[in-house]
Amino acid sequence: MSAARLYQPRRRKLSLTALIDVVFILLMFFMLTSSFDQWRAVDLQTEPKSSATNQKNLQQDAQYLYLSATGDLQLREAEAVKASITSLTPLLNLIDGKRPLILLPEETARVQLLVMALDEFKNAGLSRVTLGEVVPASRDAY
Amino acid sequence: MKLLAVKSRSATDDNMIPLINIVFLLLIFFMIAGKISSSEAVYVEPPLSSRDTPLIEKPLVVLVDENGEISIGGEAIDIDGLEQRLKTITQEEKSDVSVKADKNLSVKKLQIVLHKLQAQGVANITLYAKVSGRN
Repeated sequence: MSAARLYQPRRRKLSLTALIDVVFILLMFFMLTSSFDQWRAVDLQTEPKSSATNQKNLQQDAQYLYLSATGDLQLREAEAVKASITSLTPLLNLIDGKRPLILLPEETARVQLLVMALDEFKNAGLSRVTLGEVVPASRDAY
Repeated sequence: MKLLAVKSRSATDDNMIPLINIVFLLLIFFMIAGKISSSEAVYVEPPLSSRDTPLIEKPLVVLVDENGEISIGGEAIDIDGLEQRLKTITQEEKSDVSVKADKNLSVKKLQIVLHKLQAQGVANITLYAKVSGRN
């Protein structure tokens, strides 16, 4: 046996327990703090607060659409026709895509309903939808 | 006579190697796929949307919870505080603002915040939404 082999220092084997402890703590941290949500952007076009003339022109040209808190939609020009945000078909024939569309949500309507309505308009090819002023629950007062 | 075999320490460590492999894989998955979420002053459950426009992170994010409580940069503020805060922000930062509103917030309360943002010169407002399973 060679002398070099005799005096070779013994390799100390590290215990894996300490390593797994640290790795478990790191795993817990990342599991608890990580978020896997996928975010989407909903562009909100709001009525311009610029000049009174511009606003007046926009209002004259625009079509107004009421959104109730229950998800019903009614065009101001044809209030007899009612549609739901899940089925816009009855309204699509009445809406002129070239004119700006102003959505007037009821004051008690929720943000989820507004987003759903904007999504449905976009799917129907109506991209010129502007968020207008909220209307009271009893619309006669508006 | 055969006595019970005493397991050596190295033998027990060897049995832990598959466990360590799995834990390491899980750790790498969470580190790469997950995104560490920052804690906010108000709790917001964003609305669900079926659209596929990805959100581009904006420098200024205004959070509005179900009751209309507002938070910017992890600090809870009221509607007048929002106005004051916006006055201290440069016009460049204010040009594009994201609003993370709760899905149960009433449109009336959202409208108040939007009007304040508009009054302070915010041109583009983007609403945060989560992907719904309807795609």
